[in-house]
Amino acid sequence: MLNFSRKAYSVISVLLLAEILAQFYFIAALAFSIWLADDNEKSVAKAANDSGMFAGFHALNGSLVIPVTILVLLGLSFASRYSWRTTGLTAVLAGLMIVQFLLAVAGLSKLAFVAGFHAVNGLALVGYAAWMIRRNWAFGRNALATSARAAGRVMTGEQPA
Amino acid sequence: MSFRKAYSVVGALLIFEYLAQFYLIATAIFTVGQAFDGPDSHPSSTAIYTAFKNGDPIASLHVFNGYYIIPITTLVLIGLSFGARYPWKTTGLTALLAMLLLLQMALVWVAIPMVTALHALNAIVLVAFAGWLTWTNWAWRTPGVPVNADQAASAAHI
Repeated sequence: MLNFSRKAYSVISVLLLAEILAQFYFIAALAFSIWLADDNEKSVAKAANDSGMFAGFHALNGSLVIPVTILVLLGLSFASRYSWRTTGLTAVLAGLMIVQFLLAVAGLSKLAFVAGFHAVNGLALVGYAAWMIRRNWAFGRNALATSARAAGRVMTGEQPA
Repeated sequence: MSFRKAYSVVGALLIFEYLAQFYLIATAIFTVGQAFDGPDSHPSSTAIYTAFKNGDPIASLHVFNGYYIIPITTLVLIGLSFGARYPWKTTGLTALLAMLLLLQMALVWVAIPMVTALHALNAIVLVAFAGWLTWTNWAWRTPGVPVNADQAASAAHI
């Protein structure tokens, strides 16, 4: 069971990374729809309105799908009996996500120069999620390293898979 | 300053320039998005165009950085890789940054939003790759702890 939840943790981590990358794709599709339009009022307004679905995907993914995935990941971290350190590191994803929300709110509050860091924090999320995947990968040879790391902390209540 | 230290400094500068690209374009998008904020979620064409024009100078900085500053920095980095007498593999990988940059520009020239949007994903590859290159060739790392076999071979030649 422990082995299953650790593998599930890895799979969900990869899914989370894909979701975060999709965010970059959606917002770039929105931006290019607008900036590739002819430079006149009618064309730009039409492009902005027509590309609303990309903004919708970005908002839905960012405010619902990704937070739920992070919560599932946190649950799996507990279920996998990973160390408190690993669970804490997983919780950092939630922390970065909260920062991401706050930066988006700054953008909606007409603080575009602050909100610009939304993209930089998004990059931090990508890097961090990728590092977490690598650190806790439960398949193949890496699974032994992950398990051994956990085994080394049996004293703190952890169990190897 | 040795070429290797200069390579590290310019590598870090390049990463900073990439991050600036993300910041600038996000700021431009949020500026355009301001047309849709507030009680009116269906703004007039004029309001959208005004917001677009407000964001355009910031987007222009993104374009200038992407077309001039970053390519020049990348070329300097390739030159420093030669100057530092890094292994061919390191110089080749540094040149790969220039290839990725060309792909980045080509994606914009395609001008099909669904395809051109891959520009953002390629940018992430660029940041990750430049970060890895700078990290593995960091000149201030404690001697005797080579990060990879290339560096070990390179150090043996010095």
